[in-house]
Amino acid sequence: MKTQTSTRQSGAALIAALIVLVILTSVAASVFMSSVPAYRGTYQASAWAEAKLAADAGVDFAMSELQKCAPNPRAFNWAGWTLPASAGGGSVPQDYDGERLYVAPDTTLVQGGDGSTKPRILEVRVDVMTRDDNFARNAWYRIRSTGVADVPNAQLSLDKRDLTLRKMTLQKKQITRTVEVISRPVYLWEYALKTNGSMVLGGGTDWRIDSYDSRYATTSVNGIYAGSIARDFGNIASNRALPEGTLFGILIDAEGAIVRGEVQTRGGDNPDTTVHENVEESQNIDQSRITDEFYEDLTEEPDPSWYVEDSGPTGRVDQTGDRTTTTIRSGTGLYGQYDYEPYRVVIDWNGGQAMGGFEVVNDTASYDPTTGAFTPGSDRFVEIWIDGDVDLGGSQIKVQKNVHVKIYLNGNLNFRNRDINYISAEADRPRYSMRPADLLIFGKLDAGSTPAPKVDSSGNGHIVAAFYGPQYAGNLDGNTEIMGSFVLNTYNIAGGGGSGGDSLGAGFHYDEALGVVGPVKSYRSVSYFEDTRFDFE
Amino acid sequence: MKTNCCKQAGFTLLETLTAAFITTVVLASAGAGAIALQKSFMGNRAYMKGNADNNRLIDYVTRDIRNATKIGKRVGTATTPLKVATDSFDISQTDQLSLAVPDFYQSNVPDNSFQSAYKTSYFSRSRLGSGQTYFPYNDVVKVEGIKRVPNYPASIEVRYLKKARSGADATLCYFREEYEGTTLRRSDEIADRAADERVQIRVINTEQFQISSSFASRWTGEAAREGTRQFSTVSIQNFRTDK
Repeated sequence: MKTQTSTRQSGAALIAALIVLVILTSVAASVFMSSVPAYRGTYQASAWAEAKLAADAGVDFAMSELQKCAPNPRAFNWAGWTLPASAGGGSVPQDYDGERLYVAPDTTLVQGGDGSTKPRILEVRVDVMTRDDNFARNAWYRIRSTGVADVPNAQLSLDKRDLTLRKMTLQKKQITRTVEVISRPVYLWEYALKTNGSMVLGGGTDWRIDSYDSRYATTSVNGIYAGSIARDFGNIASNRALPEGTLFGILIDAEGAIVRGEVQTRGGDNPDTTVHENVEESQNIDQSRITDEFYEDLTEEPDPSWYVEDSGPTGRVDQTGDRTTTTIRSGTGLYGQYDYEPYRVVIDWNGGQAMGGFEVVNDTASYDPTTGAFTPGSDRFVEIWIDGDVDLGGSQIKVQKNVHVKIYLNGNLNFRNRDINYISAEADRPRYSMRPADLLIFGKLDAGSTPAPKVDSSGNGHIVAAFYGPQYAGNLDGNTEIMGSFVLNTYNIAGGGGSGGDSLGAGFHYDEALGVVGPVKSYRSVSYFEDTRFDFE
Repeated sequence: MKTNCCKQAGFTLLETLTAAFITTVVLASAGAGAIALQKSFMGNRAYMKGNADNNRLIDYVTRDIRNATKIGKRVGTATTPLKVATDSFDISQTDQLSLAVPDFYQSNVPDNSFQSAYKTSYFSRSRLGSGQTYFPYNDVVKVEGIKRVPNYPASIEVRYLKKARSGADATLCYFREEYEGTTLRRSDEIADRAADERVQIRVINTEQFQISSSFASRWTGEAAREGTRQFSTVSIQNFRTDK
């Protein structure tokens, strides 16, 4: 009896144990069936995000290469990049428009990715999409970068809709994402006025900053500014920073000036208030165009490649002169025919005295003063190195038609109240440029010079030029009318506010044509697009 | 003895009742446990589905906003640009998110539907003319004010909305639709059973937007919605033409 009872009890325990085992196994299986696809989905989403970061890293790599190619992209050597096999492979020729390829080492991205997704840059391709509509024809580059990340296994997650979005190639257990960025050249004079430090604008009721475009008949009168058709792109900006510990405060003193354009500072505006603390006396400025997110690294432009400051010219010089020189030639030959192969002029320092005014002539033009017959010459490009100050007391600077001048000024500049690249006599105007893009002046004095580098003006003169000297203090006083653009260390005006020399209007009139002239300062992304064309395998 | 023996082999009434009671309690407990477990599994599945849907919805919208040149709220046939910092709305059938995305690629024949053949870029190098090494400036560049931006050949309108799956199926789903002009080129159902899901678009400034998504499953209810909320902040990477 005991034995029988004992046997019966053992059988019940076994059955109970089996039932419990089946229940627990079912529970465990349900848990895994629920959680594993979710787990998979999480890692696939993570890999999708990591692949984009890798693609963006490839874009960053290409952008850093483009920054190196300034100021002369044509001469850039694409070290480390190759032509694709379809173009024969090998190194990239200078000034090449086709595709070039960079394959990053697997170790480029040191971060292993969440869940061992191992993000990496698959390849980066760069080609020239178009070229600027200017003399230099600088390239707009297209960057296509593909990033890749691994997914843990070849099975789908919870929902097939994830596959439509994330376009995983599950057979290869990876996700690729391709980003396309278009990058354009940035030039030195894309604003009316920029400073590294303080900026004090002109007071009075007439002093203004606005814009025109000398290229078009609807936005200028024979290429000259006219107040009646002025435009709203006289943008100004300052890099000046507030003292450490101060978040909000004045960075530009507008003095009630009319500014028809963006006004930008480096911080200083309290977002919780409606007023703009960063700009004082801004009542004549569109308040919606005052912002505080500007910063730009304004550095001195390098010397022209043909001139080394300490040892003098290292190459061909087509004309030499001194402070008494009043005529600068542009030549008629090959040199001077192209922007990248200019006619080269050196004006030497002479006894510490300043150089006066001068006229840059177009040697390919003809003019008969007796009959007034004038034949404009062809385009000529002239680069001038002036080793000393320029002071225009009693004289002016004239640039003849179709001559495009760059002046590298290793000294201070005083325009006084003279006309610069501006002709008052109507009859003479057809023979002269009167376009700021034809007179580009680069200040070359060192920032640490004593006294500090400066550019001055006074009275009722007209200045039709662009000046780049982020180390120069600008004191463009009086009722000077500036048609062009200035980049300075500081800007101040005293006595401004009148109607100007011949009623064009005192102040800055930015020529929008300057947006595409001069050397390339950097490259900037202007379009971002993720290429999602490729459906999964 | 036999009779006695048979009597001993049976159960007393008390024993039977006790056994029945215990069995009932055990079975009831097991049943209740199984039902609770089942509910838990269902709740868990619903949570994971909601979470995955949230994730997918946010990823879709952020990807498209990043590529966009216009962003607005579409009600009826009118689209209002989203640019005031306090603007926000939930995507629904009537309040739709409308984005203009540059159309970089030529349409396929017959359409751009899913898994159709690869599309060709308007600016593919294979489309350069004879002797050309780059595209003409005016084809590629457009001037907005004085900003030089790409001159996209065309744009596609992408709409996000919540609506019934079809006339015959009233299940509420989120859809992503692509329009070329007024022609619907593509429609993707990107999340289903979306009655309790919410996708909210909020303006931070004219270039930045916050997208949040949340859900309240019937297992967890509205009380747990906040715990399911996901956020993403995204910037428009292109020049915005509608600000």
